[in-house]
Amino acid sequence: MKHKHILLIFGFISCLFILTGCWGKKELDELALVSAIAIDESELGYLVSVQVMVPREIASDFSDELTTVKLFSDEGESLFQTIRKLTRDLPRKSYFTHLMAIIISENIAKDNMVEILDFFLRDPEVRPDVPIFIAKDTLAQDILNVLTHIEPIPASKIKKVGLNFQTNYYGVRDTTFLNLVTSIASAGVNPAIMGLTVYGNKNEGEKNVNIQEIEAKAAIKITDFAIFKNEKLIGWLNEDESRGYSYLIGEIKNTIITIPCDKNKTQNLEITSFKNKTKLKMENGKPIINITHQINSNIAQLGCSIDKNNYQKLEKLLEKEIIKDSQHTLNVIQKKFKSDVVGFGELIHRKKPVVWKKLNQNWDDYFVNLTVNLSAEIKINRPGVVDGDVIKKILK
Amino acid sequence: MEKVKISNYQLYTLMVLFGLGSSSVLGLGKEAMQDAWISIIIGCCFGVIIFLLYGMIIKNYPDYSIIEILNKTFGSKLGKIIGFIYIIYFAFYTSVVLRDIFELLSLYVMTETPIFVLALVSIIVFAYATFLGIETIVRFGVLIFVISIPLKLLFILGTIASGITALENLLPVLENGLRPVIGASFPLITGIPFGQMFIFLMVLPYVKEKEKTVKTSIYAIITTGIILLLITIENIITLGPLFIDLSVFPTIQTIRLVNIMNFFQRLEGLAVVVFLTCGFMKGIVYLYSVTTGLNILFKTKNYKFYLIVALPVILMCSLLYTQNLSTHLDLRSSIYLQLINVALEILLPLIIIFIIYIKQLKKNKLK
Repeated sequence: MKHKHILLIFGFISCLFILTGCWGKKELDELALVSAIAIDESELGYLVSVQVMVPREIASDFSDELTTVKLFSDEGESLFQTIRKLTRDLPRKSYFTHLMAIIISENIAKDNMVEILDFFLRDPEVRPDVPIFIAKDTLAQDILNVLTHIEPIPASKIKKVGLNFQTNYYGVRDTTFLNLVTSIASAGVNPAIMGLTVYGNKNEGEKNVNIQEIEAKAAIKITDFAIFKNEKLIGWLNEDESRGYSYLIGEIKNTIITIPCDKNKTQNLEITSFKNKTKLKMENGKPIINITHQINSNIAQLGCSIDKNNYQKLEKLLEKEIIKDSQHTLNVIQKKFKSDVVGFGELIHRKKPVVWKKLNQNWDDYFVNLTVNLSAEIKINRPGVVDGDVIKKILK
Repeated sequence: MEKVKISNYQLYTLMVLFGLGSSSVLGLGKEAMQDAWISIIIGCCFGVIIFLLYGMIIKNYPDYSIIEILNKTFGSKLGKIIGFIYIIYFAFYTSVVLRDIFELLSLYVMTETPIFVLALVSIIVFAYATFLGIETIVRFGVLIFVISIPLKLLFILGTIASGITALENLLPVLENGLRPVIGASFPLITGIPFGQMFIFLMVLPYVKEKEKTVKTSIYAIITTGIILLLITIENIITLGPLFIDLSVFPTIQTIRLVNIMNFFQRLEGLAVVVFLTCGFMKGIVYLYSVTTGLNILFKTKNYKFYLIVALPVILMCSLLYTQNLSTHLDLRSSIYLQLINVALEILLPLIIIFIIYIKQLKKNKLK
């Protein structure tokens, strides 16, 4: 009996050593937590920059003297090789589970992005929902070289700015690399993702001075949307076209729409809900797509006076404005880029798989001449917390 | 055979856990793309039909395990040979399940631990449970059932609550017609996991209320089907069929995406553990059947003795039978394994039923 007890205790103690799972343990002070990664082209192949968080600086109350993040970069033949090459400079192992943004330079996106996506897909540390951006008019590295206001970690700012833009302005369908891969893989839709750029003085951005004053000397901002054809970047939608693109895909949660009404004067409406009702019709064996924007809005700011009891005029104006923007974008993507970033092909695939089988092979050619009809149902609900012709009453 | 009894409820929980096993993490019906859920429904129906066949066998021999039934139907020599084939088959699947477990562990959780250590630690758990006997196994099963099934359902709710689901991923239904869908469900899904329920012919003799066993088993198979269906639909609507096709463990990938209010996130560590528990139950049931099967075959008294033989064989087999994870994953869809599955899980039981039928006819004629 006694022996049994001793055996049991011995067994339990030996379990302590076996079952802790400490074999590959990595303590926090042995890891370099990568918050963002930027990938550029270089003569050798890739220029990879990783932004590593400095936990002590993020946690401390007075983080004036040292920056909250550090940037490490190196050149190499492949992405992963370069990440490992960083160990020449990095004292800790780079750890990717807390990755908040992937930034890819324009040149790489134009050329060869699949190799990069393959790495991120395979690596077990990287989650599929990491936001992905394309750097416009600047090196991807430069974007990670900017310290930011409000969010102490620049990568966190990039991620949150993307989200904020998506929810409060206008959005894009492919925000994460999971979306991107899915869009590349499916024949009926091409990817479109957000672009990032640096405004201001790039050289000042990396210094703490950048965030010690009210106005930052350099700042990261969301810019135009990058348009892809399959896996290759083919161009950019400018601001108006990007907005129209958001209308087309219905990726709008809350936004503001500005309509010019008089000389230098505008009517502004806050869109509170935006839905697209998409219908697919077949006429003479050809698919025709009807998109109806269903919009609820409130009056946010008026530059010209309106009839208080009759919003119809304003609704008509809004309808015209929205359809004008979507129609313009539609023309641009059909005629200029010839790339189905809206996903009309996927719509046909889902609703009429039999038709899609015929169109599947040369969808890109077919898309250029696809008939898409746009219409809008607008409702203006509230004038805000004041009613009546405010401007007239004030100026009287 | 041990002289213990298990209740129908315990059998039910054990069967559900066994059915979910590693299939719930690996994702079923990848071949059918967005129609995988239809494949699972069809596979589940086939599973029910197959189990009704087994029901016909155990109606005639309610107190005997399959090894004994083989002896009685095929005669002692042929019966022993076929019985031995079955035991090898079970042992092979034990090592496949073991491989599933440590591949999952080493891919997501313990990336740097050598797989030999993971395999050893896992098989020690199998062996310890087997050593304690069927009663302990089913009691443990009930405990695992109560914890892991609700958690699995919570994970499904989690993806919906995160707002990352898109129902239109399920469209178009039956894009390429019924053929690929049925192709995925038979023999693939029918074979694994539903056909694998064959192993319960080793466990059913322990059940207390014999007249209800088939009914309970059918309920268990349907429950398994429903849970697998929910998990598959969850995967399709969050990841999309293309990404599922790329992923090794799509369910874990789905749960990695759960993010509720930036608070409930990074759940895959928990998910791996929850999904592993079912894998462990599957492995335990297989190992138990191997050892008791050998015990019955060689007419010895204590099945525990055979652990010493089975353990190293299964451990080595799981480490050596395949070179890498890719070939291991391909194994499930390999035509040879499917043929073996069909032969051992459907054809042989059919032959047994046929022989039983003829024997009864002869008896009636003699009378």
